[in-house]
Amino acid sequence: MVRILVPLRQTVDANVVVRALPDGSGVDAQGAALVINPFDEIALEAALQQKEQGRAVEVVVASIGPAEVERALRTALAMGADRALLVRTQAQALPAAPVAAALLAALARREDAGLVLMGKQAIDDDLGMTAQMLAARLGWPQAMFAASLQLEDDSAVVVCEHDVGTRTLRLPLPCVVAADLRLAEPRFVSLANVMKARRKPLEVLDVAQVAELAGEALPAVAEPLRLLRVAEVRQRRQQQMLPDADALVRQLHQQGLWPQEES
Amino acid sequence: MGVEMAQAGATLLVAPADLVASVREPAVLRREVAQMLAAAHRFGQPVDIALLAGDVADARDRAEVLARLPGVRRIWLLVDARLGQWLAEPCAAALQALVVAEGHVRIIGHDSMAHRDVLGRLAGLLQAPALSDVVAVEAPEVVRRPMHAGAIVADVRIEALPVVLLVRGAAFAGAAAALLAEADDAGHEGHDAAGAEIVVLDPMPDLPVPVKLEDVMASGRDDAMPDLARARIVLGMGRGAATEPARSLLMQLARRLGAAVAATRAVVDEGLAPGDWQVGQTGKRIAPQLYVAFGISGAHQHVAGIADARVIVAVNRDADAPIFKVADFGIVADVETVLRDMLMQLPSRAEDKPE
Ligand SMILES: Cc1cc2nc3c(=O)[nH]c(=O)nc-3n(C[C@H](O)[C@H](O)[C@H](O)COP(=O)(O)OP(=O)(O)OC[C@H]3O[C@@H](n4cnc5c(N)ncnc54)[C@H](O)[C@@H]3O)c2cc1C
Repeated sequence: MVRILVPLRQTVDANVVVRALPDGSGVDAQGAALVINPFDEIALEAALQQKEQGRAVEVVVASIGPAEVERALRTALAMGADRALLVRTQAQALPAAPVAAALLAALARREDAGLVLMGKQAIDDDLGMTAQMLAARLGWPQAMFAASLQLEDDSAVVVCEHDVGTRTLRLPLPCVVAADLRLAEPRFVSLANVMKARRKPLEVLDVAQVAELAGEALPAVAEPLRLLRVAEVRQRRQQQMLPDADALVRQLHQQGLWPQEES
Repeated sequence: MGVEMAQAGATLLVAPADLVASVREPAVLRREVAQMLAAAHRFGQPVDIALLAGDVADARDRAEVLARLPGVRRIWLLVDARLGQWLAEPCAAALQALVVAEGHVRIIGHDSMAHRDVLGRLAGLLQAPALSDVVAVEAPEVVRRPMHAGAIVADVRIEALPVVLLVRGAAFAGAAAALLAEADDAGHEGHDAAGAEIVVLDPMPDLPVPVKLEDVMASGRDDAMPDLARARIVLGMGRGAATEPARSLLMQLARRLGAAVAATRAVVDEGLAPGDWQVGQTGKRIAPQLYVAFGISGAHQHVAGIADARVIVAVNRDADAPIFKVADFGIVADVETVLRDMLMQLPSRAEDKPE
């Protein structure tokens, strides 16, 4: 039976519409509630379900970032993860995807994970690249956009959403599976479990230590992509209210967006 | 960082995955590649195209369609039975071999799920950074992309090469149209003989195929419905329009207009529409001429997927629904009434009697 590693990212709550800092140097997340990235939370739920069904021995969560990300890990422990790893960075910013992938690869090897289950994308940068990069680094097969997961003795059967329809993949273990929205529905955390989670093991590591431990070279450029400036997006639309469908059809007609009368 | 990075080096454009049936149509393939090409040209470097295919004849057919697009140096055919299914492991390995041998420094794909899968893995193999959903190239080293469900747009400086860029096709549609017109003009005047060189990558590297594709399920859409990502008119089905009788009326209107149907996450989660109908931050980002949102509240995660539509119409019975803030035209009414009225406005046809 496998040990499942679930990498987590802490993000701003999905209900918050973030603003740009006045000088455009970044995103203003001051005071916004921080949560586990929703896709990672789904991945964690799916991992916990595998363990509860007796198909995994242990669920280990891991996060990379400043000390604050411990909160996300504690929440994950309260949801039911067995232990947590925190790779602490000096910088406030979360690491670039290639760096995160290298560090997670080192952790996956150290933990002898049979499956890495993670979110397909983080809802802050909306990048959606880390799972694939991690799989490539490990040389493990990957299943993106997972909508269902079935673990067998030495393989995983994953139904993946796709541009059109779905595809069912059978992957040998170890492998990387990236969760889409419908893989699982995250459970609520009870207060009792929050208390229990305080006593679960949470190991703090630093970046150099992790890189060294599996002989993973970190990318030569730590910040291969630099955020130059950000701005808020304003939709400029007419916002013209119409009384009924007849008025709408007249408008669409004018715009060439309604079928012309056939004779 | 401050160090000036050399920006020279060819760009490799990866032709769209032909898993979507309509991509097989020459006109669609040409248009989609032209969109990526328009982005690629912004870097001012030679552009090659990589075509992945399961067999040679198929690859050649598609290469011929693309060879006369302006500003293409070479078309690389990556042909192997193991590439036909667009599995990430063999496809990324084949592309890696090409990129390493030819020294491409930018790899450009479409921001589709197939390309996220394959080119994300390629970035990992190359230990290169990658950016999804690129909507503009501001300078050879600066690209623009949305974040936070489209609430924020960011300019990102590329500090390391090679880099993988997945572009939002619609954002380059204008420039692409100009490229296509240029190709057509050259064709009419008969001086297009040259075209891009077509080269078969030989030998192919060893391709790993650890994963078995056990099943492929088509979407729950009927064949007559146009591809959502490419449709001219899209009708959006929100929770307020996902149950009968509104649902049937909406589907009927879509058929009559030749429109595709999109859905919100809420509707897909409830099993009332297939997953590939979802539009938004974590679904498809579409750019039709017309999007009509029926019974959709207008959560920013949904709006992120429709922001590029030319005209947005919202129909919702709640006058305070946020969708009206991002619409060109709005009607505060019950969706059923509006759908029936719109159907009445269409020239009637025998096979589509309202239920
Ligand atoms: C991580 C994350 C990712 C997400 N990604 C996406 C995404 O990609 N795409 C997406 O769409 N959503 C996404 N969401 C969900 C999003 O936040 C909203 O929950 C969802 O878009 C709401 O769908 P809806 O508008 O159909 O439903 P609701 O919000 O329930 O709105 C229904 C609307 O219908 C109206 N209505 C009801 N009955 C009628 C009637 N008879 N006539 C007229 N109007 C009526 C109501 O007034 C209401 O405004 C995501 C959420 C999260 C947390």
